[in-house]
Amino acid sequence: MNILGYHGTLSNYAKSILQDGYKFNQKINPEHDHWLGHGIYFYVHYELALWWGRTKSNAFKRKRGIGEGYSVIKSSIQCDKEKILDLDNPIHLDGFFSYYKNKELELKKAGYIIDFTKGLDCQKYSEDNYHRIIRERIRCTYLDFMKHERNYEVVMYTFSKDDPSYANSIHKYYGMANTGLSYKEKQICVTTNDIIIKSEICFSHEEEII
Amino acid sequence: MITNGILQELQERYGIGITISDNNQGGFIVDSSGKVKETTLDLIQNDFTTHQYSINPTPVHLQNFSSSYYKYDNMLLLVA
Repeated sequence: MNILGYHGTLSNYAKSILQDGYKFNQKINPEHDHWLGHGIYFYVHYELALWWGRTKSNAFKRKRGIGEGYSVIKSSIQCDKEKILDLDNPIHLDGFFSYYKNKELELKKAGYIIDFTKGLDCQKYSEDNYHRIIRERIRCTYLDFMKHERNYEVVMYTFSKDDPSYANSIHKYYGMANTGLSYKEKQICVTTNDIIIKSEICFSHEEEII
Repeated sequence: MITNGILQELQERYGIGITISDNNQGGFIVDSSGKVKETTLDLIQNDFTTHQYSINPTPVHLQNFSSSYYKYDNMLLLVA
């Protein structure tokens, strides 16, 4: 199965990715943006990767005081169908919840205590953010267990957001959320470079090639 | 199957704590109270069944006022 994914990043990193492949961070800071567990992240939509790259570039400028361009890489991912966990598929999502429940039982029976709050200073975060980080840690932990045991190479899911920063912010003041529609972000998490068969930069700085 | 290898990886990757209980009663700590819970599934399921980040369609600061001025994105809005 072929999947096309877009990865937004700083231009310096983009060059390194094209040369040496994607790098997998072994350690992730508490505010990590890993939503589907360990791996390299792609958006299905080019526009979201562009937004992400721009966000990273702005953050870099704020932190370091110097500008850094951003790029979008288009990658072709080739993966066997049985190695894809598509959480938009209700059967796959059910499968994940069953796995999760069984894994919890297994961990409990074995006497493991898992502290998902370790290292998090609750005073440092707003209550919402604190709980969001914990939920992400939990979700990623079980997804990583499942990927590890069932050899999944790709995990996909479409997250919903009512109020993303890329959206026209005036909409919420006119009650657009009442339409029952929300912004969607389909993410693809890839666990190995082996299935990324081709990558190319499709946007860099001001020049849009796509 | 739970192996030491994957437990080690998860601890290093996400900074979570994994220990063995003295009385062989496992569980999960999910808030600053430090209380060991039986399950985390109640927390996580909402991430997949409802919106990841929910907002109130009417901004909180506007809910309790029948009329107010609000400055937003360089616009002065009259909310009645």
